[in-house]
Amino acid sequence: MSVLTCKCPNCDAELTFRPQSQNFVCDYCGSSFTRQEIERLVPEQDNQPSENPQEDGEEAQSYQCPSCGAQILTTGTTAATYCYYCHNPVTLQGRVSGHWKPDLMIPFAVGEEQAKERFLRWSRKNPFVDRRFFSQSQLEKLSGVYFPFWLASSQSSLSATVTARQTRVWRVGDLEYTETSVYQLSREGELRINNYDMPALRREETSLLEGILTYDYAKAVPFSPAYLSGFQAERRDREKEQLAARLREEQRQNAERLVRDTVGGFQGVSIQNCELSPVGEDWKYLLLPAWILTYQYRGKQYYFAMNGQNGDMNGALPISKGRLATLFGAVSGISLVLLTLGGYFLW
Amino acid sequence: MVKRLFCVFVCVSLFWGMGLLSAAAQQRRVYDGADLFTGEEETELESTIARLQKETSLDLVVVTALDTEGKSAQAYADDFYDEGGFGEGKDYSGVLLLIDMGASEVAVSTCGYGIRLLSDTRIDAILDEVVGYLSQGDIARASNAFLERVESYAAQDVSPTGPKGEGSPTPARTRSWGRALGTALPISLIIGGIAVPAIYFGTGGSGKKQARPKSYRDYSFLELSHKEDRLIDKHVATRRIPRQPPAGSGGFGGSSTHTSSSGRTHGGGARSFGGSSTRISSSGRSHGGGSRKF
Repeated sequence: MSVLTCKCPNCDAELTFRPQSQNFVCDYCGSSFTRQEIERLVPEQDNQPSENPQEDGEEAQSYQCPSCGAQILTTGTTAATYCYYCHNPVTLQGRVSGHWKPDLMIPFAVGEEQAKERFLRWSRKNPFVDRRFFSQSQLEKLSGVYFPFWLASSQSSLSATVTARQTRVWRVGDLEYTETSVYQLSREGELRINNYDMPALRREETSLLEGILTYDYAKAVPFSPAYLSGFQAERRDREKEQLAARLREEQRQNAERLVRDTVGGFQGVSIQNCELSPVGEDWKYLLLPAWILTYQYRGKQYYFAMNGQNGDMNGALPISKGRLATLFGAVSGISLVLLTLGGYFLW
Repeated sequence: MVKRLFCVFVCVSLFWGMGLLSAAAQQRRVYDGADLFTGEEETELESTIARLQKETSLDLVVVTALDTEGKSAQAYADDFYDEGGFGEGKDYSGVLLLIDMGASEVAVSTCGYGIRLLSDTRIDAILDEVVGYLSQGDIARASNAFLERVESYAAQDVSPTGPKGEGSPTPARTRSWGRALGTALPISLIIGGIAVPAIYFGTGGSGKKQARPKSYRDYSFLELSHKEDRLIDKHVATRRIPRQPPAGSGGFGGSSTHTSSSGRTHGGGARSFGGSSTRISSSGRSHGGGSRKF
């Protein structure tokens, strides 16, 4: 399996992608390059024959680091990682080309320093977090990862019939009149789903990503392996066929919701039938950036995720019960002293 | 951190204890013959009585007994008071509460200014409340209710000639560290209990932050080509509104009636107002008060 690294044309060291400037920077000689410049120097290896998908199955496989020659061990879905001897970024070309080549990606816009700073700001706000959580070693573990997603867009023609009721009540003397009008509503049109995102990786962290799926897909760019250098990446292990059922369900649910949205001023709305027939469907395979931190506290596993494009955060903080108790004691203690002093003179 | 909390706890207990010790220096006024009170309850009653003695210039005694030596609860209460040498001033002013567990009877004995302070109506009210708690089994609460009632009646009573014949209308409340601490402690705990969750949730709780909840309207759209609302049925239902029963004289049950001397039926009721009935106890002293079964 060939391993790809982006090399600096001046000094042959590794280039890493900098989200702040959206440039490629050499850590050794300091030169920086734009994407266009890189493309001219490092030809895209699109024309490589597509790798047999069975070849890199679920088992871990080892590769050789092109910089130091060490063996890098990766799990079945890792597409980009670091050599942990020389710490150089490494992209496993076979896992991002051919069958596995992403259609689009959103490169990191939030850099490492910025991510750490945002994370600290968010977690420091809470006074009950165990203070060891903010240690430098914890922050070091914040990793920038590209996660695989499927983006589905579809057009379907919709035809629905709805029954709805309207009631009017009035009183004349001793008698109460209730008038019920029953309506038959019909709706026909086109249901469009735009960029419905579904995680393509079966892993615990992906459920956390559901909370930060606020990516602006309009800003997605065509895939280039150069963007991966300096970050980790995973390839998918779910094919679009496996997610088709989820899309159907989403279409059906949203169709009903949207139909209800068009029914106003009625009570007792019930959808008699809602038929969808597909007109068009389009699936795109994407890599989306996220900063991930996992930590253990008192035996429990905590996850934190930050959207790599806009910085939105989602995660659970480890709460120290000790700090909760101390604060309670302090507040109660102070108010006890104040109230006793005041109370002595008042009552 | 745990050590710190422990030190705070010890200091609080010391304060508490000091307040109580000062109370114990008084003479004994709670006689728990039937062993109904816990040590704490007794001490608490003693300290309340000590305080009220200063406020009301009345002596106050609480007695529980299993066996009243053959006497009626009332007589036993009167005799207990006389023989115990209770009472303030030359009138031996005071009030005694007796809870006779043997005969399930409660009696109040008043003497001196106590007779004037606690009219029969007030005695009735006290007995009502005390019996209420006794039937629930809460002896301590019953005794405290008794003391509170006496205190509030004494405060209401703005007689220019005070109990000792002096003209002090409202006795000044004595300051007490123990009382201030006792009231402050639960309030401070409540404040802590409110402040901490407020800060906890105000700063984001356990941190599970949803960036912006996605709505289906963000990515799904319905473009209608045909929209029709058609009326298919209309019907009217009628119902007669049931007549409301007239608002009665409020209150369940009717009124009891009785026949007067002329043969006519009358309702209503009677109650004596003011004044205290008195009797002479075995020692010759006159006592007021009353008794009731519970």
